[in-house]
Amino acid sequence: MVLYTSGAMAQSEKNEVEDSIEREEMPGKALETLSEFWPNLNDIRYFSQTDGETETYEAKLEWQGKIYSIEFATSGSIIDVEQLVEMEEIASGARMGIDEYLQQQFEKVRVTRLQQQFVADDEDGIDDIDFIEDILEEDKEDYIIRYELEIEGRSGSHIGAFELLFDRNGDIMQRRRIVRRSLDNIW
Amino acid sequence: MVSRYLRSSMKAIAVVLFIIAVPFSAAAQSGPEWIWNPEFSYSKKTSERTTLIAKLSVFNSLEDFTNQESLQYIEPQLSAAYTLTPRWKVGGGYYFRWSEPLADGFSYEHRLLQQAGYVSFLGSRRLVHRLRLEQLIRSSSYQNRFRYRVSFDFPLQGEQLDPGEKYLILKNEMMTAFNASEADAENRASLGMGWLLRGSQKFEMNLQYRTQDIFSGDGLSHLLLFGTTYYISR
Repeated sequence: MVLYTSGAMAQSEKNEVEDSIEREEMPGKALETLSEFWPNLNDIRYFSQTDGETETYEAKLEWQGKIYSIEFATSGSIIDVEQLVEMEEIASGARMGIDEYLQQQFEKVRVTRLQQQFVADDEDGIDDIDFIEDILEEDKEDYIIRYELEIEGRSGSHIGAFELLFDRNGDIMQRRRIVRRSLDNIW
Repeated sequence: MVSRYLRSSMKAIAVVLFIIAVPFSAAAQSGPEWIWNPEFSYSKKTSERTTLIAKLSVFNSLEDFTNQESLQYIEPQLSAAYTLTPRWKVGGGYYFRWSEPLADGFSYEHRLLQQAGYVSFLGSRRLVHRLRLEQLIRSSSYQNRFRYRVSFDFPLQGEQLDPGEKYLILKNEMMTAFNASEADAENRASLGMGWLLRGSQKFEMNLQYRTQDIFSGDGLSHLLLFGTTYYISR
């Protein structure tokens, strides 16, 4: 999947390549953190990702009916945690801000994926165990919440899929275009 | 999650294999005709909504490869697609079929088509429904056809398809000719595998089983087609 940042914001282009990997290929520290919370969970999927410059690792798991995606640096330290949620589950203030942005910027918009993103505050950033504990206990003072949406819609002359990142108040932080694979073999 | 994903993928493959296997076993006594269908496709996005596609398709019978009539046809295809919404596309095109070009008394066919498609994206998995109307103008006849195809493709390594990775593609198409004199129906089920070579190029191989002459009253005929297609999209 190729993502382009909208012209209204930065002009950077991001091209992520993702590979499914075996558990043993994950950084040791990442596996220790995962084992601390989910020692008996077998259905964890592991991935490596690169955008050409930075390499990261990801673990995807389902726990208590929620799907989590935990991103690690090559050192095994957590970068962020994402949780798949429905629009109704997020804070009403953020939802209002997001709705307002979508109505202003898009026509006939459809939200195809919404993730709640947790980023460690400086205080907890050095302790991954505390960070995950805070998320699971919903101790919201100790982490930053953002919302990552994938949507389909039309915005001006652009039509297609977009990735949008909002802060906890529902203010837009980043908007990128998702360029999908050609349909020439399937259309 | 892995096992659930694998289970759903295996289920889809099993359904297609079943669709292919049933007519194949029924035709085992007479034996289907074997075809090799190499294709080359070039598509270019000319605007935010418009894509132009040029394709060359060749039909070779593998029954007797030395016979001049084994080259059954050469077909240049030109078509255009217009994106109505992120999920709906409409389009049209013109195909010219040059039948048995190496044999005496070759024939031709002009084909006009109009189509609409709906795409569902499930992550990197794609499900497409396509409806197509065709008008076939041949040397000696005219035929209207209606086709419906459902296609599904998904990456085999990881959650998204990256360069160098493989994908699986399943298709089934039903079609009917509705002229009074040539009314008939056909089913085409196929299973294929592709390689995304770079972001803009891919190579695909597929095995297609065609069940033909469904309404003819003279019994079914069967055709096994091995397709190889190289795609370039800009």
